[in-house]
Amino acid sequence: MNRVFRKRILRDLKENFSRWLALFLMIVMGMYIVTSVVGAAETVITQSNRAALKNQVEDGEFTTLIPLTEEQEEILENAGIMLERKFSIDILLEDGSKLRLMKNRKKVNLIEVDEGQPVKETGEVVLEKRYSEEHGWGVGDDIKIAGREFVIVGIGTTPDYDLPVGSLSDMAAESALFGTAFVTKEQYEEFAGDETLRSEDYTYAYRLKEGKSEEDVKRELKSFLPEGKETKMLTAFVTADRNPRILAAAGDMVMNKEMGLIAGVVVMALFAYVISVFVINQISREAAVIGTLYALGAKKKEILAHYITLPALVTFVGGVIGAALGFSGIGAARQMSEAYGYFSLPAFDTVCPVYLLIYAAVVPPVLSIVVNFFMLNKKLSQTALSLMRNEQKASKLRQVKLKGDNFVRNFRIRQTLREMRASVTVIVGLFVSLLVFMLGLNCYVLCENAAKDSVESVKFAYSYLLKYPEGKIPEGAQACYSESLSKTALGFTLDVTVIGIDADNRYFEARPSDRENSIVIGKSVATKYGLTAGDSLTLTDSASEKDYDFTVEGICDYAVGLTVFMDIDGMRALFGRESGYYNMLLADGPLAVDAGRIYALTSRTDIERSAAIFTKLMMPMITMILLASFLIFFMVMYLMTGVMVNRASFGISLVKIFGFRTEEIRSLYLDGGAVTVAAGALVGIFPAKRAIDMVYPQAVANVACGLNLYFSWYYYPLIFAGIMLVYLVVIALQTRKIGRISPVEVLKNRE
Amino acid sequence: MYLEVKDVKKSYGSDTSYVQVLNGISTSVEQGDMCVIQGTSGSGKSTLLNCIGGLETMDSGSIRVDGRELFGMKPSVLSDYRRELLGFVFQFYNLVPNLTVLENIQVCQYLSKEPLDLDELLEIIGLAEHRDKFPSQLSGGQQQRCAIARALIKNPRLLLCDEPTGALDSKTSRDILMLLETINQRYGTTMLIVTHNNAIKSMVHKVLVIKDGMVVKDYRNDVRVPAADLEDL
Ligand SMILES: Nc1ncnc2c1ncn2[C@@H]1O[C@H](COP(=O)(O)OP(=O)(O)OP(=O)(O)O)[C@@H](O)[C@H]1O
Ligand SMILES: [Mg+2]
Repeated sequence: MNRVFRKRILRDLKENFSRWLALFLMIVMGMYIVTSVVGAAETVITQSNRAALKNQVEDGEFTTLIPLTEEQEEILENAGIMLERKFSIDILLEDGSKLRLMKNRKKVNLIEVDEGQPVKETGEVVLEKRYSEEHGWGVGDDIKIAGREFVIVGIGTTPDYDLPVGSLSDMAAESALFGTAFVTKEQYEEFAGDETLRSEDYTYAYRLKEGKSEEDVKRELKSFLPEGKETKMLTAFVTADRNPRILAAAGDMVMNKEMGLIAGVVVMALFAYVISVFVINQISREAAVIGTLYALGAKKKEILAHYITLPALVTFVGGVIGAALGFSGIGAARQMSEAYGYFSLPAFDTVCPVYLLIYAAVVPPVLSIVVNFFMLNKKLSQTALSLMRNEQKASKLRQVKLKGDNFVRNFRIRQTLREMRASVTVIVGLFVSLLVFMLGLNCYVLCENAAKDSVESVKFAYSYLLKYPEGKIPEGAQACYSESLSKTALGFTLDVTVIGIDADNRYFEARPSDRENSIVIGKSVATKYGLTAGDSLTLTDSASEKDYDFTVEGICDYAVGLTVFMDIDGMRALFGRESGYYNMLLADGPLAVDAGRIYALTSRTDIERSAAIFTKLMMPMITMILLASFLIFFMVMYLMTGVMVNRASFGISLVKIFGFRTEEIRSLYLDGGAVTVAAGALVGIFPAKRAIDMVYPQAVANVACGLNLYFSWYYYPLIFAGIMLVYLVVIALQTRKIGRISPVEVLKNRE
Repeated sequence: MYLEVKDVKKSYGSDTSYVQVLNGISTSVEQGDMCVIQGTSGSGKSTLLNCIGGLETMDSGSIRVDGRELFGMKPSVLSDYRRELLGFVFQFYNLVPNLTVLENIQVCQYLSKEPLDLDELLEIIGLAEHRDKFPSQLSGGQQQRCAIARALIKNPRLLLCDEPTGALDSKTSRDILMLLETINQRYGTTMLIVTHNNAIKSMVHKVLVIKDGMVVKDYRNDVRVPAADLEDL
């Protein structure tokens, strides 16, 4: 008997070839997407951690107002704190981009040169990879930096600029506008002596010897950098784990990895369920044979094994082939280009984690076996006799009495009741597809909203962050006071800028009161951390490790990065500044500020350009997600209506004999499904949106932008219309199938 | 003539599997006649009935029903022909299992602009009290009554029955035949009844016997025995 069964497996496969093929392709596609996304994530996570380790990534960094003396540096070194100066000068190039010039590194944050070689002599420069890509620079090219001629000898990356942003509070990296460059120590010192250039930044990277901690560094620093009332000597202190520039790509990928693995299981379970509906349908048709086999002594185990084998095989092979594709050139490597196109990463070899291989080979067949086992077990537990008679369990629901003489309506109700299982599968498929769809849509909406909100809320043309403010405020400028604090949420630390403003401020709509510690928060802060008026918000100064507790008194439209507003006098008092202190100038045009005083310069154009980058960056991912969601719904719908037509083929053939036309048959047998799908869509859309909205804060926990997931109400009817359109297309396809059913079929077989 | 069959030929398969099933059949049936088609198993009775019913296409020859020529008709036109003129009754009832008696009948009522009165028909058929039952809750005879009611509800001009009593005992068979007789008298429905049962011959207007795809007997009964009086059913 076993041999007979084995032959039958092949026959089943042949008979329903197109159906199995469709399922197989869905599983291949699903597993391909999962393995390529997770494989890419795993590669970036593993390899960038490896690279960081190899290149001696810093344990932290701090910035001082003036450089440490050699004795001070020695004290630190003696205390087991390995220091590397990463002083830098920001240089504005002719094309409007900003290059951060630094000297070669010896001990910490080593430069990994992908192409060419490290800098050895004056006149040579190594350029950061992403910046070079955006500007089309290659090894051997000549580049002019602040009037000096350089030859690009290498293209590379450093682990402390994994996310190549100019400032820690930047929303997004825009490598067309910012990059790093490395020259010899001598050449750097020559630059540093140039009065016409913007002021130098004195940041030190450190690595700790065994047993040393962040606290030790701070203690040592405090010993010779006492906190003065007037000027803060230690202006910033950021440990590596709170530094958004370090291992940023890896952090970004953790979510991709988790989402990919979960989505994989959900989608595979869905298809296992779809398969079980097929198999149950097949068992119903073959009930008489099965009953006879039972009567002849076959065991349930054997029959069950037979019906489970083909699905398990198909899903197994599908999963393995999907994974093979995922790890091939068109898989993970391609997915990684998303990370390569944004983060500054050395060239990585794709890693092929064992767990992912096991996942791909095990999850589909195991889910298929488990789901099928539970679905079929009951069906096959009937007695031989009842199977032979193919007794339909006379369920109350199916034999419900229908009132009214509307035959068409009643017929559709009967058909819907009969096809309950397929309908439920369609609804479940629709909901899973809606979840996936909302994931993609939210991603799109978030990017678009972040861009729109930030651009719309910027009223100034230029913003100057000053290192050494002068006493006199330049003509036409508005003076503010800005401090960078940080907030840790969901495992990520992000910079939150506090801006102190006057009540007559022209550039910000916020009007914070002078109550103590009272702030008006920008829209992006409000959405990101779910804050409303009356809530409290604690921000941390990582240099002094001081926490500041604020009370939110209102929300304003400002949405560039994460920003909160405070009354300027209250803020001066809070941070111990003298009255009249400011360090930020806003204006409608460029200001004549001494270059040496400028710490950072942001123009409105910069903000507009970097706002658009999110959508551009995420578009391939969004497209893929939306496409996958469409395919899931289409396939489930197509396969399930296929089952319905199949199961109804006898009845269809019968009514064809009576002279029903194909359109009428479609209307009787399939149009009831429209109500099911429409109802499922109506009920499912909002919960799907809510569910995804709930997981979204986690998904973008590492991005300093608002979490405005709002989309206009008309998206809902559009989504609904889209669903119904897919439904109509599928029904059109099935109507063709109905057209092909021959009326003579009734005469050959009986139900 | 209401139904005219002329030199109808029909074959299946090709080469080794070739079978000539109908080998030049000609006959005719008048409006309102009940006609029995008899013959040994495999003689081509069902095939002939299916050709007349527009379910199979003939290779050559002509079938005219109510003035319409079936030869060469497109499938969609054939479908409309069945819709407007025909009723079918099968040996194995072929009811839709998830519809009640009433709903099964309504399937065909839907097709007619001037259907018979449903309640009246249920009375005649004797299913009035079973109208809300499902096929699985009915006996074979009751199921066949339901199938006949379904075929009759749209008041077809031609009723095609392929072994309507084939699966029934003699008592139930008689009931069904009496029912057909009543219908024929009451509505003037022309009927073609394929059957193995010899006794039925004497209750109808006309008898056609086929052998190997050819007509071997074709005659009218001068005297008819009412179904109630048939012997050896
Ligand atoms: N689709 C088909 N393909 C090939 N041969 C067929 C097909 N349908 C019928 N036949 C053959 O045609 C012949 C006549 O079949 P038909 O069903 O008309 O016989 P019948 O007189 O109705 O027999 P019975 O009394 O057993 O129902 C048989 O030999 C049968 O094998
Ligand atoms: Mg026959």
